[in-house]
Amino acid sequence: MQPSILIADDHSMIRKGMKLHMQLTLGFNDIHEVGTCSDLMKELVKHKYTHLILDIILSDGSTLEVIPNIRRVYPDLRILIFSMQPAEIYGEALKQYGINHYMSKSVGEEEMIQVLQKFMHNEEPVRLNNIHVQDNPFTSLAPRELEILHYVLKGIGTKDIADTLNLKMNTISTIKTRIFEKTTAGNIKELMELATLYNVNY
Amino acid sequence: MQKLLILLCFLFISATSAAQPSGNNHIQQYTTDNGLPSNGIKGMQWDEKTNFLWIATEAGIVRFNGVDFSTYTRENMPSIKSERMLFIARNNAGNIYFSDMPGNIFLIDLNRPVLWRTPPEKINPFYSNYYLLTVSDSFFLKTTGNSNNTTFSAVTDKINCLSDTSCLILNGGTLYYQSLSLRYPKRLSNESKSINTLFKIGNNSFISNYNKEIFLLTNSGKTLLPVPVIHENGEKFTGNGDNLLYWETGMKNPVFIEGSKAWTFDYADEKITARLIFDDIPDDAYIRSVQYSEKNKTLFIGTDSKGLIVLTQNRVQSKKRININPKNRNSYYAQLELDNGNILTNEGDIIGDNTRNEIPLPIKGKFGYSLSIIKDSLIWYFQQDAVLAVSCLHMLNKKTGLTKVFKEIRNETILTNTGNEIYGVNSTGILKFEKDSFKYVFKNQQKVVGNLVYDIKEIQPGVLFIAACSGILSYTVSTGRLDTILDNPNGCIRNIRLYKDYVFFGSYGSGYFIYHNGKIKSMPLDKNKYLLYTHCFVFDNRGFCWISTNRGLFLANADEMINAFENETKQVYYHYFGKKDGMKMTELNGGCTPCALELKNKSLSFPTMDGLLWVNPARAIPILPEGEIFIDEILADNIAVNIDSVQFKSLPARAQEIIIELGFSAWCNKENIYLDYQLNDTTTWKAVDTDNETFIRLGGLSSGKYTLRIRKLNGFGKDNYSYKTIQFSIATPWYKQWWFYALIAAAVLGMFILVYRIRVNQLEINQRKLEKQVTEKTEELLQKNSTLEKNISINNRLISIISHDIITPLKFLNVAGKNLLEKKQLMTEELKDETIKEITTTSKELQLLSTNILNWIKYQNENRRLVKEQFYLQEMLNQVFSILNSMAHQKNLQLISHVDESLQVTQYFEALKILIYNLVTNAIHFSDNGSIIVNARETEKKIIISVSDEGVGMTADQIKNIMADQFIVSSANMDNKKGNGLGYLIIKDLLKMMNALLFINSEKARPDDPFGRGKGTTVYVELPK
Repeated sequence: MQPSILIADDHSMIRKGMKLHMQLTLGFNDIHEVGTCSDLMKELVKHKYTHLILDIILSDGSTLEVIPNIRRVYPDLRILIFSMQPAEIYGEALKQYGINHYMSKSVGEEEMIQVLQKFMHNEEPVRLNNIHVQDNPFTSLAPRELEILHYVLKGIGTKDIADTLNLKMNTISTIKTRIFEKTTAGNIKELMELATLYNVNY
Repeated sequence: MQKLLILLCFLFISATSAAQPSGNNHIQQYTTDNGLPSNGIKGMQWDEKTNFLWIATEAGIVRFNGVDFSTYTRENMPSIKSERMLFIARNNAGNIYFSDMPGNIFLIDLNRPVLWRTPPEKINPFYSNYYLLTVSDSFFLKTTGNSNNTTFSAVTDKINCLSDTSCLILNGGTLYYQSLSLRYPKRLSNESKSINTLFKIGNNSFISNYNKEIFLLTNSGKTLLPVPVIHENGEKFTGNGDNLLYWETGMKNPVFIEGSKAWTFDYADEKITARLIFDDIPDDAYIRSVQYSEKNKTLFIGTDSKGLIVLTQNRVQSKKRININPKNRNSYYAQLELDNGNILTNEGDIIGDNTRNEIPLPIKGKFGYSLSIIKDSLIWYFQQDAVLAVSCLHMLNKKTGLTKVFKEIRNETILTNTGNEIYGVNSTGILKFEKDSFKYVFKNQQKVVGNLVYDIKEIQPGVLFIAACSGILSYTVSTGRLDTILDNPNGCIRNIRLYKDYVFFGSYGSGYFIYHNGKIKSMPLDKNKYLLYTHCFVFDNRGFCWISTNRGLFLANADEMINAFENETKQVYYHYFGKKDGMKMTELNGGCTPCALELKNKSLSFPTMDGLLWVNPARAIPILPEGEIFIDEILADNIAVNIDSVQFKSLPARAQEIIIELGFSAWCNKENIYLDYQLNDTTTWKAVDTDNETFIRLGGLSSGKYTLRIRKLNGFGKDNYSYKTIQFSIATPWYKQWWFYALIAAAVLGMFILVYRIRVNQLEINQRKLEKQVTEKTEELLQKNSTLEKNISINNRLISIISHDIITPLKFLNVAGKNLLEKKQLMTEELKDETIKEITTTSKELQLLSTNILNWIKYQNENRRLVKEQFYLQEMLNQVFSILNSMAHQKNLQLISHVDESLQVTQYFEALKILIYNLVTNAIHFSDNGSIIVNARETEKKIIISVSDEGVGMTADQIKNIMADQFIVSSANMDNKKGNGLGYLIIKDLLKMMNALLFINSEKARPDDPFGRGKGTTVYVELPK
C-alpha cells in the first residue's frame, strides 16, 4: 500500500519544499498539505493517512494540544514532528505520546532525507548522542509543562491559559511553578531569555 | 423609862416607815442642761403600762424613760404643727392624748406619739370639746363639731370621769355635770368659786373647798359627803396652803405637797389617809404637774419654769460618822455592832442612827482591818499596844470584859473555830489556839508564808479553807494536811462565804468563784465586770446574795448563782445598786474581816471609802429593768424608715448603715440593762451598748432578708427576757437585679460585638486599602513589567520571526530552487508552475517582512530624532500605492485614493508613510476582491485618514485585541489571515509618535457569502493638525 502523507506546517514554502523532497528525492506522490490545526483534524477525517509530518506550532495553536487526540483516534498513524524547537526538549517529551520521530528544521539536507527515509520506512529513528541532555533546563519538562510553557512565553496570563485549555487556574499555577522550578528561572524575563538561549521557541 | 421606850418605839417607827429621815431620797432635777428640751412643763402623764413618763413642754412632747429624754418635735414628727403643747391627759381607758397649740391631737402609742385627729376648722382647742378627751374617745368624738363653742377647757378645768359618756367639770370654782345627752353641762353647785379642786381617789370623786374640807361626791356629783383626812398615825391631817393638792386625770391618788413634804391620799373606810412619801422636796418651785409611781416609789414634779424634778426613795443608805473629824480617815474596814445599834469602825468612829444613848465602847481607839468574833463572846482584833508600842493580837472576852494581848502574834491574824478549837491564819502560817497561847501548826510553808492571807472559814467539820493571795488552801485539822484548792489566781482571794454546801470566794481582780464537792469554777460577771473585785457575799433570808464590790453593790439570786455553777450558764442577773439607789460612795471596801456586818435589825452594813452603806434587804426592793422593748426609730443611712407600716420592713438597697433605736424604761441604774441582739443567728447574742443612747447599728449588710432579735434581761430568774423581733429586708440594688446582670451581659456582648465589628471593619478597610495599594503597585509593576516584557518579547519575537519566517522559508526557497535546477526533468509542469509561483510569493513576502522589520527597528530606536515636515498627502499615497500595486493586482484588488490632492499634512513623513503602508498591506491581506479606498478629510483640529476594504472584516474581539496595550505579536506567517502582528505593533508605535488615534470600524463577513465577503473594514487614523 502506498503511503499517504500529510504535511502540516504554517509556512507554505516549507510545505512546498518538504513536498518536493518527498516526491523528488524519496518518490512518494500521495502528499497533502495543511496549515492549521483545524484543517489538520478535518483532513485526517477526510482521508486515511499513513504518515503525518507535523510542525509543533501552527498558526491557530500548538499541535501538542491535538497530538493526544490524534494518537487515540489514529493509533496507526505514524507521526514525525518537524519543528524549529530543539529535539532534545520536545523529542523527549513527545516520546511519552509514543512519537519517536522528531526532526529539527535546522538540520542539514542530507540528515533530513535520512530521517524522512527512516520515518517513511517505519524504521527506528537515529538517536542523537551528541546532545547533552542534562545541560538543557527545558529537557526535564513534561508535555503538559511544555504546552503551558508555550503560552507562558507568549505572555498569556494564567487565567487566559486556564480558559483556553479548560483547566483550573490552580493547575496552571502549579504547572507554572514547576516550570520555573525545573528551569531555575526566577521570573518570566529570565524564562524568556532562557527560552531564547536554548532555542525554545513558540 | 416606860415612856422613854414608847418614845423610842415611835421614833423607830417614824424612822423606818412614816417619815424617812432627810437625805434618804434620791433627787434629780432635769432641765435643759441635762436633756430636757424646755424648762416649762405644761403637763405630765405617767404610763404604768410602759413605765414611760410623758411630758408636754413648750418645745415638744418628751418621753422620759429614767435615763434619756426622747423629744418629739416638728423636726422628727412633721405632724406636730407647733412644739408648744397645750395639754396632756389620760382618759378612763388609760389612753394618753396630747394636743399642740393648733389643736392637733396625738395619741401615745406605747413608745411614741401618733397623730390621732387633726382639728376641725375654726376651732379654738383651748375652749372646745377637747376637755372630753380626758373622759373617753367616744364622748369626745360624738361631741366633736356640735359643742365647739364652750367655756370649758382641757387646759384649765378639772374633769372627773364618771362613765364613758358622763363627767364632772370644775370650771372657775363651779362644778358642772356633763353627759352625752346634755347639750350644755349642767351646773351643780350654787356656791360660786367655793370649790378649790376636784379630784379622784380610785373611782371616787372628791372636791375640796377653800376651808380645806374634803367631800366625797356621789350621785353624779349631786351629793356631798364630808370626809376626814388623817395621817397614817391617825392624827388629823391639816394642810396649810391652798392649791396644794395635785391630781390629774388618770392618777389613782392625788399628791399633796406642802413645803418640802409630799403625801399621797388614800381613801378607805370613809376616811382619807395621807401618807408621807417624801420630805425633801425642793421648795421654791411653781409646780404645774405631779405624777407618782407607787411601784417605783418615784415622784415626778413638773415645774412651770425649772424643769422636772424626780424624787426616788433610796433603797440603800449611805451612813457617815456623826462626829466630823478631818484628821480621821473615813474609809472603813472592820466593823463591830454596838449594843445600841450603832457601829464601831476600825477607825474608832461610831456610825449609826442612835445618837441619844451613848454606851461604853468595847474597843478603844483604832484597830486593825480584821476583827474575828468567836462564839459571840471572844472578840479578836489587832491593835497597837500602848505599852509595847507594837501592833499585836488582842482578845476581848465579852463575858468577862477582860482583854488579853498576844505580844508574839504581830501579823494581822484572822481566826475561826472548828468545834471548840480555835484556829488562826496570818502571813507566817496557820496557828492553833490552845491553852491560852498560839502554836503554829503550819509554818515555813511557802503557800502561806510570805503571802497575804485574808480569810479562814470552816467549810465542813474539821476542814478549814484559807483565802490568800496565792489562792485557796484547804487545811484538814485532823491530819494537818494542807491542800491547794485554787492556785495562783490573777488576784488575791480575800473572802470565803459558805452558803448551803457551796463555798463562795471573792477575789481582788479575778472575779468570784464557787466551790462545791471538790470542784471550783470561775463565775460569770456583770456586764461592766465590776464583779472582778468582789469583796463580800452576804446571803439574806430570802435567798438573795448581796455582793459588795469596788464599784457598787450587787444583788443576785443565790439559787441562780448556784445554778450557774452547776450548769455553767453564761449569765446571771446581778442587780446593781448605785447612785440612783441612794449610794453616795459606790466604792465599797474589802479585804477585811468582817467584810460586811449583818446587824441585829437584819440590815446589812458595808464598809465603804466614805462611811458605811446600810442596806435593809426587806426594803431595798430593786427597780428591775423589766418591760417591753420598743423600736423607736429605724434609720437607714440616716433616713427614717416608716415604722407605722407592716411588720416586715423593706429597706432601700445600698443601706450602708441601719440604726435601730430602741426604747424601754430604764428607771434602774444603767448597769442593770442587759440588751443583746442577734441578726440572722440563733445561737450567739451581741451586747448592745446602753450607756448612751441605745441603738443597734448594723452596717455593711448585703441585700436579703433579715431577722433581728432583741432581748432585754428583765431581772432575776432563768431566761427572764423580753424579746422583740423585727424582720426587714434590704432591697436588692438595681445593679444586682437579674435584669441588670442580663443588661450588663447584653451590653458587654454588644460592646464586644461592636468592638469586634469596628475592628473587623477597620481591618477590612485597612485590608481594602492594602489591597488597593497592592493592586495599584501590582498594576504599576505589571505595567512596567509588561513594557519590559513587551520589549523582550519583541526582541525575542524578532529573533523568532527571523528564524521562523525568514530563515526557514529561505531554506525551503533554496530547496525549491535546487529542485527546479537539478530535478527539472522529474517534475511535472504542474509542479514546476506551482513551485515557481510559490517561490515568487514567498520571496515577495519575505521582502515585505524584512522591510517591516527594518521600519520597526528604525522607529523603535530613532523616532526621537525625526522632524515633522509639510507635504501633500496624495503624494505620499502615490509612493505607497506604487509599492503595493503589484501585490494588490495579484489579488485582483484595486487601490483607490479619494484624497484631495491639495491636502497638506504636517507630520513625520516617513512614519505616516509606513503607517499607511501597513494599513493598506493589511487591507490587501484580508481582502480577496473589491477595492481598497484611502480617504482623508480635514477638520478644524484634525486630519482623519481612512483605509477601507471590502474584505473578511474583524470581530469585536479581534479589534479589542489589536487595540489592547498588551497586544502581542503573533506568529508572523505570510499566509496567515489572522493578521500580521508585527504590522500592528509598528502601527501602534507610529501612532504614539505622531500623537494620533486609531479607530476600527469593521463587520465580519457573512458566513453564506461564497467569497467570504463582508462589509469590510475601515480603519481611521486621526492626526492632530
